[in-house]
This record gives sequence, structure tokens and C-alpha cells, in this order.
Amino acid sequence: MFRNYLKIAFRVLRRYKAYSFINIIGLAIGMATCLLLFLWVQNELSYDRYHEKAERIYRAFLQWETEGQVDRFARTPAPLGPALVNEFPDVEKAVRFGMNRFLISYENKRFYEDVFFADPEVFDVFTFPLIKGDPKAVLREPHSIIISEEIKDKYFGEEDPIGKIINLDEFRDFKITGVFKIIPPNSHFRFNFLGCFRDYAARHFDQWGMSNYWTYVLTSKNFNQDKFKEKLPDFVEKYRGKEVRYKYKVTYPLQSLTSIHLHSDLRGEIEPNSDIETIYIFSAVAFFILLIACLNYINLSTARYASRAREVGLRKVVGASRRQLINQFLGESLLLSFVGLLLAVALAELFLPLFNSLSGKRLTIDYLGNFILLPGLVIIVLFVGLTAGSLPAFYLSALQPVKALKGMLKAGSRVSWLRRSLVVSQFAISIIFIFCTITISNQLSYIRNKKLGFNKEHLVNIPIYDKDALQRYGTIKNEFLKNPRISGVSASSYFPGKVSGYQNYWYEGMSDRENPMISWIPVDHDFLPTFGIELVSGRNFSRDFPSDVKGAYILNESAVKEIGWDSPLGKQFKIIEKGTVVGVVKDFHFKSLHQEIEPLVLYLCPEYFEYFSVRISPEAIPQTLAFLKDKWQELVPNQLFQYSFLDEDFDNLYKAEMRLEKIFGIVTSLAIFIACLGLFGLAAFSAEQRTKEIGVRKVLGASVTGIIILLSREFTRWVLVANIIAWPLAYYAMSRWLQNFAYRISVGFWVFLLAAALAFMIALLTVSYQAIKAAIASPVESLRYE
Amino acid sequence: MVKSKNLKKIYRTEEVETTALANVNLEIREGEYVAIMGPSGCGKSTLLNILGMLDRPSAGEYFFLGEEVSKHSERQRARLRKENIGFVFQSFNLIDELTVHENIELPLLYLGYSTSERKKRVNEVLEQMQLVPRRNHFPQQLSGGQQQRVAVARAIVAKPKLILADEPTGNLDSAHGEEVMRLLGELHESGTTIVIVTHSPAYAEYSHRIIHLFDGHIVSENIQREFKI
Repeated sequence: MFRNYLKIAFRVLRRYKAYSFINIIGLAIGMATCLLLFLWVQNELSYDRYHEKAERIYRAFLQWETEGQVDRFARTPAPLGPALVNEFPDVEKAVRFGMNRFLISYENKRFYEDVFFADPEVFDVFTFPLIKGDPKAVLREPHSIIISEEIKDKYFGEEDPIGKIINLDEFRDFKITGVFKIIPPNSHFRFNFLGCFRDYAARHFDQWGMSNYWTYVLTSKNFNQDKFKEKLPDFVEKYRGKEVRYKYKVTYPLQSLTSIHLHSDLRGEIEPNSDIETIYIFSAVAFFILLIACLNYINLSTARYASRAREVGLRKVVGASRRQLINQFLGESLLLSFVGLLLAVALAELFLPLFNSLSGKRLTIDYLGNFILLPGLVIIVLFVGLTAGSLPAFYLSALQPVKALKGMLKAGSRVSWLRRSLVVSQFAISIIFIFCTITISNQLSYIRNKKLGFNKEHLVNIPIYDKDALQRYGTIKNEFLKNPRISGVSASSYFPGKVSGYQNYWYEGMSDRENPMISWIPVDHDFLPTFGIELVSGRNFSRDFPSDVKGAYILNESAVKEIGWDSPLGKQFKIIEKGTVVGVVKDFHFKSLHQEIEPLVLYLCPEYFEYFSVRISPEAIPQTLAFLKDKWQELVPNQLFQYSFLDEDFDNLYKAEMRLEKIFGIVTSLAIFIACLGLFGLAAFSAEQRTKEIGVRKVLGASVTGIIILLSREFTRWVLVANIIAWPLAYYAMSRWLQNFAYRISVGFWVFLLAAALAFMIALLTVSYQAIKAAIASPVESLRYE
Repeated sequence: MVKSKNLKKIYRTEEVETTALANVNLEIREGEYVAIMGPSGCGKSTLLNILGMLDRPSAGEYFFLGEEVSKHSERQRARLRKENIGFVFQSFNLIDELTVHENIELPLLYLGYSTSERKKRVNEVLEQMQLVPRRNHFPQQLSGGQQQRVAVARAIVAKPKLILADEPTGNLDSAHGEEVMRLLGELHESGTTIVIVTHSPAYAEYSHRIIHLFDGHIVSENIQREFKI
């Protein structure tokens, strides 16, 4: 019995090869896309959860208030950790992290590396397995350091690194006491070197004012966040005094470890985090693509079933019970969707490498290990198979044999309503995707082209790590300027999107109640001219005024507005040393366009410089770069020449959005493709259904064009309806997404029209093939209808 | 074997009411060969469908093998039908996706015969209908006459007591038509009751009795031959 069903199912497949293929391919693409996106989301949600005690780990951050504005900072002072352990019985352990970049040398290998330092308790709190070394001992000795497997290979090859000495430039020698497994990629921060916190930060151990470090705590199992919050203000008062507690409302709240990657967006994060919004977007996209594919599949399957009415009638005559017919159709449907699943899995595996390179991850499809995967896929197959199968199963099996035998079924009004709404939904979803893709593209191009208030083109950034080079920065600048293609060189610590930090500042006329902080960038005399930043009033730092070095300040307009000065020039200001305001610059975008331009102060302070910024001519760029490299190696033999282009660095601030743009572009194309598959199949079916009608019309004199219009009219109406549904949803989705940007385009009406027009044209193209084919068919054939 | 009393069948659409059958009283005895004749639209097929329990009368009673079945549930009627009746249609109505063997086997599947029983029975019928060389072919590969032979084979594979044939020669040329009529004749001689709807007076003469239908009424009955029980 079952074999009979199976046989028929496959033969039906083979007979309607084209339709079956369209059907299954559409479903497979939808399932494959959904699968890949699901893996991505799953990976994002898994960050930091591999730690055994992850549920009990929290990070303390710094929060304070000035003039009603709340500021949050991920970096905290060194004494915080131990103090929390002391005061709160539920806080069992604290681990502090610090980080700096050093020139690591071992034998003849020298590289700049980021080095982290942590308290030895780090292994009691986090799960960082060691390949070599005892976790209880590795960081206890002074000047000990542990390295990752990757670093071991890089510096030591096959040698055993334990006991070897490496040198952290300008700091001291460290002895390697252990090797740890590489930190998994799904961590909110990763490191390759870990030294002992005491060695790095001892001098700040009782400095509550230096918030330079990250503090993580391990709480007890029955830790109560609310109770902790209640006692926190008293804690702050005890260690920092009444003024800090009441005036500045300083506090140290906790955030759970597992929430950091997706929800934390504090200043001073170790690494840029991701965004829960992106997760929502991708989940929604995955869901909708799957939905389109399933709707498609259901639609096409049910359309085809109408032509099997005769078979149903016959089977009934010959003795099939309703139950047997239902089983047959459900079985067929499940079988087909299972085939679709196999194809989907094959597609997913095929495109996994591409997806990984797009998303920047290393995902794998782990059928056995991933608990949700297999059940999830099975559920989808069951859902799709049963839904697609039950309509024909129940509807057809209920037919009167006589009616069924009479031939093709005129689709009942209920069924065609369903079909209509399925196509409308598919197109609505596709239109929303088109709309989003266009909007995202527009926003990105707006960002790329927006005037930043300075000239970011052809500006080369060269990082300075060598302290010696820093001291001779003036000489290096002059050497660079000898090249006629170089029109300006500046030394500063500016890098797109970053500032040196936030400093407490003092200004003339400040009241006692305030404790403001401001972004600041150390710059040299040539910063303003090299970058092309406009002065609004006053002057730039000048070599004519030696006191300008560390004694003069330039503010941006927003800073002046925040302070509230009418005439800022000449006023007193201080972040490090007291000085005078000598100039005000027009606001420029030193950070990404996600954020409003903040108040900024520029300060001439050479010890802090981190980059040379070189403005080069657009001609012969490779030659200029070669010149810079040669000059650099001549002048700074101890440091490798590295460079980046400022405009690219700026673009990198929008990496997440660019990724979104790419993925949306692909997904939209897929969605449209699937929707078109569906439309194509349905158009064919509809044309077939109306064969007799078309034949009659032709005999009566209808032209080919007339027939085409007749057949297309139905579908184009549906697409127009789809627009009406899609527009408000698309608008809502994009408005919300655009709010991530302080500087954004407005959603123009023309985008709606464009999306609508595109969808309409695509639908028309799809339908026209069938329409034309039906219209040219000979009426004699069509009327020989039984 | 079957008897109808005051059978009435009315088709209703939104506005129009068509009386397909009115006041039809007939009785067919086991082993008879009855032909139903009449012009197009007179209700022949409708009557046949009711006799085969494919359709219900709007009024009146219908007795099948002594049971009154017009009020029976679909399931009960289906059971009676599959156990006792074989159908032959004008347009063959074979399933294109199944081979000749599989098409013939279908009723046995639904009757729950075991695999070996099915095989045996189908082979018998294939021989009887001289279809053995064609057993693995698909309907599209057969001529009209062969297809109808398959349909007849399917109709008899479960050894039904009654065969209902609705214009079985309608789509066939005269040679093949003769062949099918001959087949039916042979079946009749082996004891099967046959009711055939036909246009052709020539074919109708194979029967014992011809019932003439006109506008839903029985207008006359001609006895062709002696029906001996």
C-alpha cells in the first residue's frame, strides 16, 4: 500500500518535472537561508556562555551623572574589585583586567601585540583551559605570563615555551609559565597574552580616580541583584565619600556577562560589541524567507492537486476510503518536503564558506551536536508537508466521485481566496525586503558621502609605537614633507571613531556642583591644516607661542555650547594643566555618524601622540606610499611600517551596516526569486485552468494581446494589493533602524514607488511568459476539452 | 438484485432546477443483461450513477441486494460498492502514473488483499484480457481499445456481482467497440449482472432488456431475449 503511494509520488514528481523542480527548489532555498541565518543567530546568542560559571559572572561598570545626564563607562578603578568582595558576602571573587599594546621580543622575533593582565583568580571565575601549566600557579609569580597556542606557534614553533623569557618593551621581561587554549571566537573579548594584574597596575591599586580597568565578579548562587543595588550607594559613600555619592551620583552597577555581547554599549568596551537589534533583524529575515518559501510550496502544491481530481474520483469509485486518500496525499506531501529538506541541507553546506566570509564567523552545521538543529528541521518538514498536503488531502478526498471524474476541478472560491492571499503575502514580504535594501544602501551611501567637516580623502594614517620616534616626531614630519606629493603631515592620537578618552575638566566659571567630562584628542600644530578643519574663531596652535604646548586649548562648537560661554577665547580651561582657550573649531565628525557630535577639546600634548596623518596627492599613490615606507624604515628602524587610509578606517566604523547591506541584498534577491517561482507556477496553472475560456474567446475574436492582458490582470492586481500591505510595515522597520544613526536620511516617498515598480515589473515578466504561451495556443486544441 | 422505487433526482443551482430523473421504477435481477438507452441529456448516466451508489437520489428508494441504501452513509455505500460493483467508463479513467498491472490491481489494494493474492488475481485477469505483454506499460503507451480492455480488467479483477458500464464503446472505433462488447458478453455468460448505458441500438441488442429513458422517465422496455434464471 505504502509502496503504491511512494511509486505514485515519485511518478507524479517526474511527470510534472518542471513544476516539481520549481516547487522543491523554492522550498529548499528558503530552508537553506533560514538554516544559515539561524546558525548565525545561535552563535551570537552563545557568546561567553561556554564559561562554566557564566550565569554567576557579572561585570561592574562605572556610572555617574552630570546635570541630569547619565554617563556609563565600562572601565573601572583597580580597587573596586577587592572592595566589592570585601563588602558584599554574595560577591565571592573579583577579577580585574588591564590591557596595553607592547613590542614583544623573543630572540629575533619582534611584534607589536595586545597584552592583557588579570588577577590570578581569573581561572576560578572564567573557564580558560590551560594546555600547559597549573591554573593555580601560573600567574602567582611576579613577572609571569601565559600565552595562547597560536602565540606559542608564532614565537616558539616546536619548542617548549615554558620558562622562556620574553621582553615587553619599555616595561620588563616576563617569564612564560603556561600555555592556554585559544579563546573561543564567541567571546566578547579575546586575548593571546595574559600577565599578572599586579605587575601592570600595582601603582593604581588604591586609586579610585583612575578608571582604566575592567572588573568582573563571581557571585554566589543565590545572588540577589536588587539587594545588591540597594546597598550599592552606601558602598560608594564608604569608599569614595559623600560628595562622590550624592553630588556626582557615582555608582558601580553590575551587568551579567552573557548580556555584554549583545546589549552592552558602554564607553570604553574592550572590543566593539554586537547588537541585539541585528539579531532581531536577522531572525525576522530568516523567519520571513522561510515563510515565503513555505507559502510558495503550499500554493504550488495545492494548485497542482486540482488536476488530480480525476484520479481521486477514480480511486473513490474503485474503493478508496476517505482516510486512505488523505493518507496518500499527506504522505506524498511529506515525502516531497523531505526531499526539499535534503536539497536545503546540501545548499546550506555548499554556501557555508561564502556565508562565513560574509559574516566574519566560522560556523559549522553540526547535525548531531546542535540540539535544536535536527528537531527544528524535522518540525519544519512536518509543518510544511502537513500543511501543504492537508488542503488537497481533505478537500479532494471529500469530493463526490462523479463530479471529480468529470475532469478538471473548478477551484472553489475558498481555495482561490487562499491562493490569492498567499501570493499577496509573498510579494508583500519581497517588497518590504526591496524597500529595506534600498533604504540601507541609501543610508550607507549618505554616510560615505556626507561631509565630515574635514577632508578624509587621501589621508594616510601611520601608527607610532616606538617611543623614540615619538620624541623625534618633528624631525620625521619634516622628512616626510620633503616629498612634493605630500602636502601636510600631522601627529596626533586621532583615529576615526576613537578619542583618547574622557577627562574630567574644569572651566572658568564652573560651579561646584558640576563634575563634567569631555572627549579630548592630543594634536600637534599641523592637525587643523592637515585635516582641513575650519576655525570658527580664534587661532590654531602656533609655534610662535611656545606656551601653546600644553598651555592652550581649542574647543569645538559643541563644547562651547555645553559650557555656555558667550566669548570663549581667552577663558581658562583645564584637563591636564591649566591653560587658555585660543580657538574654536567648527563641529566635525570625529566619531561615526551613529552618534551626535559630542563636545571635544584639542590639546597640544606630544607624549600622547599615536599616529602620523599624512595628506598625499591623489596621483601616484603607490609611489608616495613606497616613499613613506622607505623614509620610515630609515628613521624608525625599530618599528614596522604600517599604514591605513583614513577614509577606509572611517568606512570600517560601519562594518556592521555594510554587512547588513550585503546580506539584505542577497536575501532580497532570494526572496524575490522564490516569490517569482511561485508566481510562475501559479500563472501556468491559472492559464491551464482557463484553457477552455481562452479558446472560446479566441474563436470569438479576441486578440493575442487581449488575452495576455486578461491573464496578467489578475496577478498585477495582487501585486498592487501586496504593496498596500507592505508599505506601512517597511516604513516602520526602516524608521526604527535609521534611529541608530544620529545623522540619517529621511525615508523618501519615491523609495516606496521604486519598490512597488520593481515588484510590479518582476511580476509582470514572470506572468507574461505563461500568458503569451496561452494566448498563442491554438483554440482548436483548447476546445477539444473533455 | 437491484430495485428502485420512485427514484427522483433533481439538480439545483442558484436559480435553476433540473429534474434529471423522475419516477423511475425498475428492477434488475441477478444475471440479467440490461441496456439503458435514450437521447443525450435524458438522465442515463445519472441513473447509472445512482445504481452504482456513486450518487444519491433526491427522493425515492433504492434497494441494493435487498438493502435500502439511499440513506446509507458514504462509508457504507463505498464498502458495498467496492465489494460488489465494477465500473467501466467511456473515457477509461485509468491513472496515468500507474502501469497496466498497477491500474488493474488498484481495487484489490483498497479491498485489503494480500500481496500474493493480488498478484495471483491480476495475473489471471491479465491473461483473460490478453494484456500480459502490456503489463508494465503506461496508459499513454496503449491504444484506446487496449486502454478500455485494461479498464474492463480493472472492473472485474475483484469478481464483482454487478458491472455498470457507461458508454464503454463511446471513444472506440467499431472494431474495438465490438471487442469490448464481446468481452462484456463473455462476462455475462459467466454469471455477472451487466447494466450498460449506450447510444448504439446495435450494441444494445446484446442485452436481455432495453430500457428507454426520455427526459428522466422510463418510457418503454423492450425484451430482447428470454431471461432464464
